[in-house]
Order: sequence, then C-alpha cells, then structure tokens
Amino acid sequence: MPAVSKGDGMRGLAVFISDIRNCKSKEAEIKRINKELANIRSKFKGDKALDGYSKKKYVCKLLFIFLLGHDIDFGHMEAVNLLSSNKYTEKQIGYLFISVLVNSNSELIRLINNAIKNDLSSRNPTFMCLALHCIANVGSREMAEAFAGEIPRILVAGDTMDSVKQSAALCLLRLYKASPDLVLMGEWTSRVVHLLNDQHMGVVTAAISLITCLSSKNPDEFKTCVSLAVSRLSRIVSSASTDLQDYTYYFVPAPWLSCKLLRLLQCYPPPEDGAVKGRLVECLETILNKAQEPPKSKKVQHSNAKNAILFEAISLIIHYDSEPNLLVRACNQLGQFLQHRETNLRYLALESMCTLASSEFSHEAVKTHIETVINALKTERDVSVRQRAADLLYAMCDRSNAKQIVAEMLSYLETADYSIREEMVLKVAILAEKYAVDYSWYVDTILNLIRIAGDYVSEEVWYRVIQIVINRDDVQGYAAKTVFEALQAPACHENMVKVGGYILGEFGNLIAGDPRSSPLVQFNLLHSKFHLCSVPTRALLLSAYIKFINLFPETKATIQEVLRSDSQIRNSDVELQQRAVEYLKLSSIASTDVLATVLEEMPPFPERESSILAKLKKKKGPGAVSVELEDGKERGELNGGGDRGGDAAIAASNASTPSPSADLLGLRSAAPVSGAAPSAGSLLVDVFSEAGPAASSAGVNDDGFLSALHAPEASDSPLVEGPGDSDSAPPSAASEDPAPPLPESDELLNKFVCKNNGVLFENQLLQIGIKSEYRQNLGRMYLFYGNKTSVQFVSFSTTVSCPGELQSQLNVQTKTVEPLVEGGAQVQQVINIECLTDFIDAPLLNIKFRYGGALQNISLKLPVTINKFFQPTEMAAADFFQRWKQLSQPQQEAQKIFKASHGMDTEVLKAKLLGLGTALLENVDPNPENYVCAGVIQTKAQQVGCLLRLEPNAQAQPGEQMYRLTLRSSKDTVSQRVCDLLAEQF
Amino acid sequence: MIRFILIQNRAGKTRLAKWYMQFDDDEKQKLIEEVHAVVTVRDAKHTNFVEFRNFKIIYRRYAGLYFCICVDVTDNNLAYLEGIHNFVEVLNEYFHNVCELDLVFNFYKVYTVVDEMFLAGEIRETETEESKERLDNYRVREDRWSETCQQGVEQAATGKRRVCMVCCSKNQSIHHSHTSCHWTPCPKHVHKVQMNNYI
Repeated sequence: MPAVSKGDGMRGLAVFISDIRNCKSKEAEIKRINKELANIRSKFKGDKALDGYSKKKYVCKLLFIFLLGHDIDFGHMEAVNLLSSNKYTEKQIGYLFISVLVNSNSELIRLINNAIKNDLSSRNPTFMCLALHCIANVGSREMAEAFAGEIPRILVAGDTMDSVKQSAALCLLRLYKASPDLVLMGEWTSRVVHLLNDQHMGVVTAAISLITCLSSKNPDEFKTCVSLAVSRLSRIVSSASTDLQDYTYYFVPAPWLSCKLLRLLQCYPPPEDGAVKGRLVECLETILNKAQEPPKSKKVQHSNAKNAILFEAISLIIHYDSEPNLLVRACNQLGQFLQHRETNLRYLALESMCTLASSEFSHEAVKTHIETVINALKTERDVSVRQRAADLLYAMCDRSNAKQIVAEMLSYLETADYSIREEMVLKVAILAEKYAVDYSWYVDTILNLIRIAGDYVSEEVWYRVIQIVINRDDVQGYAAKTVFEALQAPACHENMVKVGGYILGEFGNLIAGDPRSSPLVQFNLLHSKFHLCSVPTRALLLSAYIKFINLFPETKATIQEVLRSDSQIRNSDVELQQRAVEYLKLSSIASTDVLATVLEEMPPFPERESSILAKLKKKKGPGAVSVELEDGKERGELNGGGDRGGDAAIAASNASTPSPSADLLGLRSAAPVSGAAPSAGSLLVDVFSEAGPAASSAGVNDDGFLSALHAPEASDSPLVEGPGDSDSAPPSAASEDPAPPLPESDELLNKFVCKNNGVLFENQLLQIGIKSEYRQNLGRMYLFYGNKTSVQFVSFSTTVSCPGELQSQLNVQTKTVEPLVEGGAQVQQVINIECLTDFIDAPLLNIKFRYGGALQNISLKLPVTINKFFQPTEMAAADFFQRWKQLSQPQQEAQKIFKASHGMDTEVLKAKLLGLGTALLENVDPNPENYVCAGVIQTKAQQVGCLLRLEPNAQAQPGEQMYRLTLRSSKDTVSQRVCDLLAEQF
Repeated sequence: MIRFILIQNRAGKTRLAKWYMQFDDDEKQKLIEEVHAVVTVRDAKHTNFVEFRNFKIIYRRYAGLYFCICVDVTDNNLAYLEGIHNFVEVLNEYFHNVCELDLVFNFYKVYTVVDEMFLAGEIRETETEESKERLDNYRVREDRWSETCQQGVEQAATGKRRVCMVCCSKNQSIHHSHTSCHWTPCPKHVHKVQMNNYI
C-alpha cells in the first residue's frame, strides 16, 4: 500500500476551491477560472514531465471547473494517463474524470478500455471495483462490446472477492440495459440465479437487482429464482438465520434486501409448488403481524424500514390477487395508516389502496374507508396527499357510491389546487359518464363541471358530452332545457357557450314549444354571448345559427340579418367570414328540402373509447396502468349487469370497437377486441334462441291480413296518416288492423339502401330512428321510437311482419316494447334478421298506440334490402373480367339506363357504392370514369357473387346526364333486385 | 431504478449530481433547477415524496442540505427514503460529522462513497460498517482531511468574508472551531449545522 505522502491532500485544489467560493461576483469567478485554466494548460504543455500527484491535482481542478458549469476541452489525455497509475487516489481521480466527462473520441476510448482491461485482470479488488464502476457509470456500447463477455465470468468466479461481485453484478445490469443484445447470459444463468444463495448479504443485495431485470425479460429461464428468493426471504423475515451479519438496520433485518426479494417475486405468478407457496404465505403473514407489534425503537428509521417491507409485501399480495384473506388484512392495515400521524404513511396508504380497490376481493373492504378518504381530500395540507385521495376515490367508485363521490369531487374542485384541477375535471367527467344511470344526472354533472372549473374543462370533456347527448335520444330534450337555463347566467364560461350553441343548434326544437324558450328567445340568448367569445366559439355559434334556420324557419330573417352584418360577412377572420358568407348564401338559395338535408341532425357518433379516458391516460403517463385495468373491469360489469334487453344499446355503445361496425356482432372474431364484444355476441345468440317461439307465433298472427296488406296499390289508399295530419285522426285510425304502408315508405326504403343509420320516419308525434349492423347473413337493427310530445303514448305496440314469400326468405325476430312511452321519452327495440335466401320485398313494421285517446296506426317498410348482406370482395382486373365473362348468360345480367337525378360528384358516387356493401375496385375498368364493384351476397342457403358496373356520361349537359348500370350475378333475381335498388340511388 | 441523485443546499447550489441515465447538459441544468423549485417549497408537514415528470423524487432535508433521489414511480418510497438516510450515515462516519463544506472540498471523495452504495441506479451495499471499512481502506491511502481543511481556513482567514453554510448569507463574522470543519455558520444557524444532531 502506498505510503501517505504529504502531497496527497491536494492543497492546491483546496486553495482553488476556497478562492472560487470567495469570489464576490460571477465575473470574478470566471476570471479566477480562466487564470487557473491557463495555468493548467501551460503545465500540461510544458516541457517538464508532470509527476502523478500534479497530474491528479490538475485533472481534479478541471473536474471541479466542469462541475461548476464551465466547458472543459482538454485534460482528457492526462486523465487517461492517471488510469495506469499504481496509486489508488490517482487512479480514482482518473476514472472519475472519465465517468463524468465521457468523450466519444475513439482513440481515447481504446486507451481507456485498455486501462480498464488491465485493472480487471489485476486481481486487486480495489482496482477491479474502480474499473467496474467506471464501466457501470459510462455504460457505452463500446464498453459493452469490450467487456460484456468478461464481466459474467468475474461475477460467478469462485475466487472473486465479495465487493467485486457486487460491482460486477450491477455493472452487468447496466450493460444489459444499455445493450441487451451484447449481454448473453445463456451458460451463466443458473450460476447467476444461485447468487441468491450467496452467504454474503451484500452480494445478494446487488445481484438481485440484476436477476430481477433479467427475470422480467425472460421469466422462464430464471424461474428457479422463485423458490430461492422465497427461502432467502423466509430466513430473513423469521430472523432464524445467522447470516444477517450486520445487515440489521434500526432493529429491522435487511430491509432493502427484503424489499428487493419481494419485488423479484412480483415478476412471477404465485408459486405452483405448494410447499414454496406455503412458506411465502407464512412470510407475508409474519410481515403483516409484525406491523401490529409494538415498535422496537421510537426512531422514524425503524418504522420506515419496517413499513418499506410491509408496503412491498402488500404490493406482492395485490400482484397475486388470489389470497382473499391476505388482501383483506392488507386493506385493514392500510386503513389504520389512513389515520396515522405520519403524512408519509397516509400518502402511501392512499396510494396502495388505489390498487387494492381494483381487486374483486378487496374492493368492498376499500369502500368502507370512503369517509376517511373524503376527509383526507378536504383536510390534508399536502396537495400530493389530496391528489392520492382523489385517485383513490376515483378507483373505489362504483354504481353504489358514484353520486356521493362525484358530488364530493365536484365540491372539492371549487377549492382544489390549480395543478390538479384538470385531472380532477377529467375524472369527474369519466365517472359521471361511466356510472350515469339516468343521463340527465350526467348532463347536470358536466354542466356543473363547466360552471365550477370551466377553464380546466378540456375540449375532450365538452366534445364527449355532445357525443353522448347526440347518441342518447332520451336525454336530448333535457340537455336542451338545461343548457338553455345555464346560459341565462349573466356570465357563463365560454365552454358553456360552446356546449349550449351546439346542443341548441341540434335540439333547440325540443324546447321550442315553451314560449319562454321560443326559437327567437333561444337565438337571442346565444347571440348575446357571441361578442364575448373567441373565434372558434363564434364559428361554432354561426353553425348553430344556420341550423336554427333549418329548425325554425321563422328565425330566418333575423339570422340572415345577423349574418349579413359587416361584423360577420366582412370579419377579418377568414374562417368566420367564410362561414357567414356561405351560410347566408345557403339559407337564401337552397330549397327547404336541400336545407333540411344539409342541416340534418347530426348522425350518432361512432362509438369508441372515451376520448377523455385517453386524455387521462396520456396525462398520467406510464403510471396510469391501474386506471386502464380498472376500466376494463368496469366495462365488463357494466355490460354484464342490468336488464340485458334494454341495455343492449348501452352495452353496444360501451364497446370500444375500433370501427363502428367491426365487431358489434362479434360473430367471426375468435379473439374479441374488447371486453364488451363477447357479451354483445352472446346477446345476439340469446335473442335468437329465446325469441324464436315468440316471433313465430307473431308470424302466425299476422297471417290473417297479410294478403290484404300485400297489395302495392295500398300505398295510395286515402286511409293514410301522413305527417302533418296526425291531429285530425283519420278514419282508419280507429281500426285495430295494421294500416297499409305509408305512400312514402318505398321512398324511405330507398333512402336506406346505401346507409344503415338515420331517421326512418317522423311526424308531429313520433320519430323513428334506426341503427343497423350486418354481418354475413345476419343483421341487427335498433329502432328508436321517440315520443315528441309531452303526453304519454299508451298501448304502444309494434309488429314486424314478412308478407308473402318473404316469410320463407327472411327470419325476423323482435322483442316486444314497453306499452307505455312517456312524453319526451324514447324506447328502443332490437330486431334480429337472418337472411335465408335472396328476397325482394321488405318486411313491414306496424306501430300502434293511443295518443290522447285516438288510435294511431302507422305502417312502414323496414329498410332491409338484399344488398345489406353483401360482403365486399376485392379482386384484380384480370379476375374481374374473367368472372364477368363467366356470367354471360342473358338472365344473369340486369341493365338499366336512367337519368341522373343528382349531380355526378365522384366522391358521392363512391360513397354510395361503398354504402351498397360492395368493394369498389380501382384500376379495373379501362375507362377511369366508370365504376366497378364486386361483392358476395351471403344468405343462409347460398352465396351469390355479384359484379357491378356503373357508367356515367359525365360530359353531358346537366339535366341530360345519364347512367348505364349493369349487374351480373349467378342468380337472375338478385341481379334484377340489386339493379332496381341501385338505380334509385343516383 | 434511481434516475439521479442530487444534493442541493437551500439556495440551490448543487453539492452532488449523480446521473444514472443519459441527459444532455442543458437538460441536467433544467432538472437541477426544477428539483430545487419543487422540493424547497415543501415543509415538514408534507410527505418526503414528490411526483416529478414521469418519475418521483424521494428527498430528505438535513440541516441546509436536501438529499434527493429520483426514482421510477413504481419504486418503494420508504426503502429509498431510508436509503438516503443510510447514505448520510455513511458520509457522517466517513467525514466524522459531515457538513456541507466537506462535500464541497471533497467532492471527488463523495463520488466514491456514492459508487460504494449505489451503482447502475440500484442499491449496491446497505451495510454501513462494511462500507465504512472499505472506504477507510481507501482513506489510508489518502491525505488527512484536516490538513485540507486547515488550508481552506487559512485562505478564508486572510480577510475574506465568510459564507454561512446554512443560509449562504455572506455577512458573517469569522468563527473558528475545531470540529471536523472549521467553517462555522452564522449564529442563528449554528444549531443546524451538525448533521449528526439530526441522525
């Protein structure tokens, strides 16, 4: 060992540091540093060779200067020279400099690696550790390449000193994390795992970090570590072993090692071997027992160390999630901590309980602490504790306590710390949506949210409320009324104006009957907010205005005047100006029909994962995993419970299917994409099986009058109740027999050939919305019957019948609906359809109800057409033409030449052809103007391949534009029917 | 795993920065400032844990120094909190009643202590006797600390004003003492200096 020499103290360094500390200004400091740098430079460049001590001193000064925040561009070579010194302090400074100022200079790297290599083979444990620490600190790829092979050998060699093993284990961990491809454990695996049995606790402490990392990457290869870890843990926890050496910290045996062992076990499921598992459960029980014992020391270090192990044990218990007894004990223990005087413990208990809340075994136990948690939310001084309390409330929320929790969170929001308001808003919004039993509560909650914390309500939140209101017809009237009231406040948040504008624009008509919220009052209310709003909100309001023109023709003049004013039509903002100009023009030139089409009510939004949830996940970062898990579970619950028939739409709408129709039926997908898919799938099957007899008996009932109904001429019968004359009950309404189909029902049918969703029928009393999904030869249709009046409909009943031969072609099954429809309410009916063979006619839907004593009797055609059962077929040009030729018999082809009744806009045409259900084939027809499509119609009896060609003469004058439509299929009736249907679409 | 270890004083001066993941220099500076801002506003009633970006900081205050360890959010808070304390105990043994100036004048030795206890972002050794013994072994080869310190005092005593190590105020009269460190704090902070009072 080198003797202690006088110079080792680096007096010069101390002087320099003192000088720097005594500098009164930054300038003085820089001056002093520059002087020193010049001095060092000259020493390094000088002729006289520097001795080790001086080199060390100067390198150390450079390091100090660097750590002060100044750039250092020399001295690397001198530092590298120090590495080969035999003196510990010189070597140490050299390695430190290299570790702190890594330089990618390749020449230096080579020298450094060389020095490291020498030290690793020196067999001097101190030098070996220095070299290993340097590799661990730098961790570069070059170093991994040079040493990844050597270090495992050092780690497992029998004659390696314990301290070197510790360093080697962690050094290897660093290299593995940086360059996993270079660290090949293979042959070393078993020997590394057996380091868990090493008699030196320090070696185990270091090695276990390496083993945990490797296990999490390749669990199978390392699974023998489980039993070793359990027995090691058991020996520590029971303190039976004598190998504790001096690893007892404030009366707690080896706390860090215990934590690391418990963490390693969290890489694996519960041990399968009964003996191992028994031993582990015993350990966990002992740890829980110890928490109840009186402390062996009053020092906080003692309780912290003890509780560190306890929390890690609870994490493991939660990870296993299979021992109800332990879970409940853990929950009780955490419950005690919730009231502990140490803030740290209260915080950790809240955090840990959050994960416990998602276990089915302990969810109820967690819920018993709700009052304590709410109290924490209100009284904790530390915002991070309050935040944990809010997280826990969110996690423990379920249907039973949602109203209480949402109310508490809302009231907390008024005083909440700014930093957590946005997250709180998201959570309230999510809980309100997830547990909304009646959607008016949901609407109230969100509007309150905007009122209380408008600034923190992100776009996702108010988008979502609109999506929900649009998709849930039963809440639209209430929403319109509520926003109207909320907008009465003299000062309301801009987000409120946005929601209000959107909802009144869509559903203002639902409250227009009340003179206090007449169209003009609504408009004036909205417009009074206009000038205080930002550009995007104004743009939204302009859209609401044009929708008003459609909803309420009486407001047209007023609104046109507003649009025409200079502040709109000459607005300096391009977007606003454009909207004003276009809307003004639209309102003045378009016919009522066009206006009604363009400004039709928004179609339901495709259901997808709540954007709010996505936002919360993003906000929470990687820590949000628990939210996700919990959410998945929640979905299952939501879909499983409740009355299944009535909740079908909710179940479907909660399914986060990637595309709207992709998996609703869940028939084909072997692996359902979301928790809801299987339940939706089984629902369909259920409905089919249980509704079977009921539907067939209904069919028998209908038989009697089917022939009378079937006459197509019936459509111009005078006994029809059309829109507009519902108040003067027509004579036929007294009859109990189903009315003949409405005259416009064929037209309505045509409207739905190329689309699946929309409003099927509407008069002053009733609106019927439709949503349908098809897969293969099966279909499901949701009918929404909305009572537009404020009076209830009684004896409400609907029948679906298949006239004539349709009965053998389609299998249609319905569930009966409730006989009572409240004013403003909506009922839903699910219809399942199975296509047995190809068909031409559409099933009839008859609706009967009494409105104010008068019987209403309406018959419609259900928009079920043969093309709904198309499966698109992609094919190349050659295939297409080959098949086209194969279908050359005259009866296989159907052709129609007809006038274009709409424009020939390419995109519109494409959309319609896709809506038909076929695949639109690009680059097949030599004439790019033409469209060709292919699809297979799926029926139970057979599959009918179908090819289509549509040739527009786009060059012709408007008014003379024509199409030629050619259909070829393997079945003549199909060709003809599809041709007829499609000819009406263009 | 540990992402970084910082030792800062109340004024925000960094006394040790040890990084276990790659950051560029600007980013390091930003992190240092952010950590200081987050940690110094908290008082004794607060927890010793703060969420920090996608990580969390476990910290503990000793006299005027904040010892901060930045770890992954899933890591065990109390284990790292006691890890800090254990580290301070080793420093205390090593420097015989450690104080802030020990860390300033012996920054290069502090790195050795850190590497002894934490490596590659993991806890390497937890046993204080073991660490101390090994560090003492190194010490044999080093100079006597008191000599360095004496040097510092001589420099400082040549009429330059002194900085209180607790509040960093510069207007203190010069005191000499013969504990481990010869720099003394301003009178109102004198009781805070000896970290071992808190251990």
